[in-house]
Formats: sequence, structure tokens, C-alpha cells
Amino acid sequence: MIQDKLSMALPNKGRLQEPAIDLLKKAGIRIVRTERQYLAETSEPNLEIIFVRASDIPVYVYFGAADLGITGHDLVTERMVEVYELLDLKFGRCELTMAVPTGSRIYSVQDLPNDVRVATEFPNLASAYFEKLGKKVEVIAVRGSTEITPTVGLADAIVDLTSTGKTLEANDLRPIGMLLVSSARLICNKIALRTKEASISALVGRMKSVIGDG
Amino acid sequence: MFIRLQTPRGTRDYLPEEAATRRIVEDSFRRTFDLWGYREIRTPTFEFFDVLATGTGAELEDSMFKFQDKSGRLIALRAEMTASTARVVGTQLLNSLKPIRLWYIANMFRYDEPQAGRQREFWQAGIELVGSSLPEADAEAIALMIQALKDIGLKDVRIDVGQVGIFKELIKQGGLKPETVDQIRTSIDKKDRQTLEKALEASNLDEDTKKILRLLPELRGGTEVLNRLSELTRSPEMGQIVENLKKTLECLKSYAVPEGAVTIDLGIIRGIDYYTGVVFEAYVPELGMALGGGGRYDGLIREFSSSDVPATGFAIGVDRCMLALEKQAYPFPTVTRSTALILPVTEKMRGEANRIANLLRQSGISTETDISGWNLSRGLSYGSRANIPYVVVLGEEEYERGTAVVRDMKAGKQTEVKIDELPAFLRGEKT
Repeated sequence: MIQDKLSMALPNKGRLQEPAIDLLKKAGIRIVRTERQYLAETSEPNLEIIFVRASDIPVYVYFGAADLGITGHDLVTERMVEVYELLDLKFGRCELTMAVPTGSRIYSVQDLPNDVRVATEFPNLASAYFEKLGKKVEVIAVRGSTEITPTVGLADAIVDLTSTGKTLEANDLRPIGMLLVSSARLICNKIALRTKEASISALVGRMKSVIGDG
Repeated sequence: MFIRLQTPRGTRDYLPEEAATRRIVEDSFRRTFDLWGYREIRTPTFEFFDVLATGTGAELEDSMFKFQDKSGRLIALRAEMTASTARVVGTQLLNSLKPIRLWYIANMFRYDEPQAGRQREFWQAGIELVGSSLPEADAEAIALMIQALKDIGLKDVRIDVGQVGIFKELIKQGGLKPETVDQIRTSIDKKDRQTLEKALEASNLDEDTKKILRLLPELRGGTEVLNRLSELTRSPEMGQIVENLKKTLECLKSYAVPEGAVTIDLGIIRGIDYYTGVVFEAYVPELGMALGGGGRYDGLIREFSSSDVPATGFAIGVDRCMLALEKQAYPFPTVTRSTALILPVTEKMRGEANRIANLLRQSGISTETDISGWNLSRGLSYGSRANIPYVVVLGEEEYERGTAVVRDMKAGKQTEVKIDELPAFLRGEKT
């Protein structure tokens, strides 16, 4: 039984949205859209859904604007916010990969010369990665179409999400390193889990039985 | 050009109205700390990086603002106060009377990604209690934190209490690589059971230890969680740690801490390395972030001296308290400017205006005088727009009689009052 009022942030578009809605449905939670586009009710009287950008969900949950959220582990890590990651939902699997043009002489991250320019949608993760490697790299933050940046001369290399490797191939790019393995997570606000523990546990239990624990 | 109009990311201005409400909160912290026998300490805003990085761990080190002085030494802005306090105690207060009770309210600096409730310059109010290793000291720190938060006007303040000794004791056995410890710590802290499982599988910890580590994120509640832990281990060290936590909670009962305000949470493994014993975090249900936290750090002062000096303490985020008060709709008193405006109606009265203003200020009434050469109507209009409750109109005729006309701006009423009776009149006393 969900006794407390709970809110959950879901992606308003993109590859994580459908599987997230599907997972909730299998857990017995139907989403009932309302007139306001970004808000929805559910078949659970005390559970409300907020639709926002997947990359913003960690911030909503960190601040407590939503108690729970479904978004990628990559986005949680990139936003560098403190939230609980209660469940690995197993879908949306992908890798954050470093890639260079196929013709490049660079074959591993150790080969990277200093001051190489790397375009990415994940500037925080990329910067931390290069710092750990001891490489001085110029990270260029972009908001999409990362894979075309080497072709047009904006960057020498990219750090981007890959799931099959086809996009890299199609853009004449070759992977040379992996930063992070990601999948969708159920994240939770740190205070909400304490003040609404029973309700959140009940909901987590239902979702867990759908994905199977392990 | 553009840069001249802005402040750096993560910093901000506090205009008079907001500064005044923050002052109310800070004054309340000062009062509470004073009442518990704590004395103020001030340390430099910037210090040698090596001092500030003592015991704080990689994460906090990374987020410090660092720069070199002219002789090339590495300097940093303080990111928290405990390392500085430990330096002061270890180098200057080692032989002073113990326990030492210290408080501070100061700005801190962290080069983090700014978020709501997380600025790069932020304020902390905190205490350090030095010289006792007993659970009584931990209980005092926790009780004082609750009291300080209640005194600023927060309702439903809650504290979760843990013991990092449990984690440190478990990890000690394995001879683990720092990366593995870090991974286990982070995944417990994030309640990320899958990553925890992977990290544990890859480690060479024995099955019993793994079992307890796996359970830590779930061990939250009343004293029953301590019993559950005790059932899983027969190690005498662990028994002592659990006993220490029990005693702290027992002590806490004698303070006026409301029922249900304190919960045991063994999953609290605070990110800063120097903690060694009881740790705690405070929050209110209305705000999604902890208001502050603290704990015991028995090894830290040794880093600055050759003596083991036990200590505990906490820090409260002032900015987060402001957010929490706002969320709980705390009725801050409306901030008025001056109580009185002295308005001379002729040039001749100008000097008298300042004399009378001084008379009022000496009686503790905040007073301003007209410096813009206004006539009566402009002056009254300013007084009304500035929410000044009384305008004292100085006319030559009245002045010769030894009086002035006081206009009560709210009531719209005018009274002729003897000049030497003005202070009493403005304080609302009968004359």
C-alpha cells in the first residue's frame, strides 16, 4: 500500500521513456494523463508522475521536487548529485565510450596526446576520466550530434553513449576506451526514503518483482 | 564588459531584506551555542592546502578552490571548518582546560556544480566539542544540533544516527585496495545494492563480513537494528562499537528530544574520511536535503600534534536552513528600516534635526534624517513608501515651544510631543 503522497519523475521523451512506462504497467501502475502535459496521475491514488527531461531527473530528485525518478546511471553520475540508486532496472543498457576517427593513429587512451579536443554531452564524466588518466584534454560540451564533431573538425575525439556500435561505425569512428557502463535506475531522494520509507519500500518491492532481483 | 555585471557562478549577493532574515537565523545559532557554554572561534578563510586537506578525503580535496601564493605554496579556501579547528587545537590549545567547546558561523567554499541548495560559497554554523571520548559528548553534540535547529524556528527536526566504526571495522579485515573500499562505501551510501554486490564479490572479504556489509543499507530503525547486527557478529570490537552507539542513544533520552526524532541508520557512512565513531545527519521532511551533519573524529587532532585528543562536532548549512524555513512557511518578521524619520520643514531646523536624531539613537530608536532637502509632502511620501512608522516633523513654531509634531504613518494621526519626551513616545510608552 502506498500511504504517503509520492511523486516520480519519468523521461518526457527518448529511449528510456517507453520501457519505464512499461515497467510501471507490469508493476500494476497505469499512467493516466491529465490536461497538464508534464503531470500525470496513476492508478495508485497517492502516486503522481512528473514528465521532465531524462538528464534533469537527477536534479529534480536530489532537490526533492520528485521523491523518485527513472533515468540513466550515466545521467545521475554526470549531474554529480547525491541520490539513492535503489534499483538497476536493467533496460537502457549502454556504454559511455571514447572514440576517434577510424583513420586515427590513436589506438588506446594512453596514446592520446596532450591538448587533444574531445566533444561530449558528458563534460563532468569526461573531465574526471582524463584527470584520472593524467591527460590534459580540452573537453568541449555539446548538446547532441556528438558523433559528427570529428568530421567537421570541431573535435579530435568524442565521448558518447553507444549500445550497438553502429552509430560509431556509420560515422567512421573507432572505440578506444570505455568510461562507464550504464542502465536505467530507480533513483530516490535521500530524505524522502527516510520520511516515506514504508510507501517507497512497497513500490520498490513491486518494481523489483517485475525485473527480478539479482 | 559582461563580466563586470556578474558575480562568479555559485556566488550571490544578499540584499538588505534577505541579509536581515539570515541575520535573525545566525543570531539564533549564536545564542543557542552560547547558552550551551560554547565559545566562538575564527580561523583564516584561506590556509595551506595541506592543513585543509588533512583527513578530509579525495572528494572534498578535489572540490577545494586552490591557488598559489607568491612564493609558490599551495593555498586553499576552507571547504569546511573541522580541519582548521583541529589545527588550532593541536597547535595552540593542547594544554588548555578540557573539554573545549567551540562554535563558528563562517563562509565555506567548494568548487562543485552549483545546484539548488548548493552554492560555491555557502555558510555553515557549527560546533566542535573537544576532549571527551565518552558517549555523553556525542549525545551533547546531537542534542545541541536538534536544539539549534528548533531554536531558529524549524518544526519536526529529525536526526539519523549511525556509527562509521562498524564500516571501518568490517573493512579493516580484508586488506582491500582503496578503490574497492571506495566502491563499497559509495554503493552503501547510495543504497545501490547491485554495485555493492559486484564490489563484494570481487573482494576477498569473508562471507560473514559480506553478509553484514550487504545488510548495512537496510539497518535503519529503532534499537532492534542493533540487535540484528549483534546477532551477525561475535567480534568483541564490534560489540564495543554497538555498545557505544547504544549508550549515546541512551544518554540522548535525558535531553528534551521529542519521541521519534531520532532514528538509527547504520547506512550513514559520511563522505569525509576523518570520522571514526558516532555520526549523524539532520533533516526536516519538507526539504529533500540534509540540513547538516557531524560526528566523532578521534584521530584528526593527532595529525597536528603528537597527542590523541578525542573530539566530536557538527556543521549546519545555513543556506539550507533558510530553504527549509521557507518550505515550512516560517513567519519571518517584516523587516523595517528605521523607526523614525526626522523631517525639518525649514532650512533653519536642519541642524536641530540631527541633534534630535542623536537623542533618539541614544535611546535605541533607529532614526534617519532627511538629507535630500525635501518639503513636507515629499518627506511624508518617502516615509510612507519606506514603511517608516513615525515621521517627526520639525517646524520652527513648534520648536520654539519645545515640541515637534509626530505623525503616526499607519494610523494617520498627528500628535504634538515635547522634544525630550520623544524617545518615550516613539517607544509607545505613556508620557
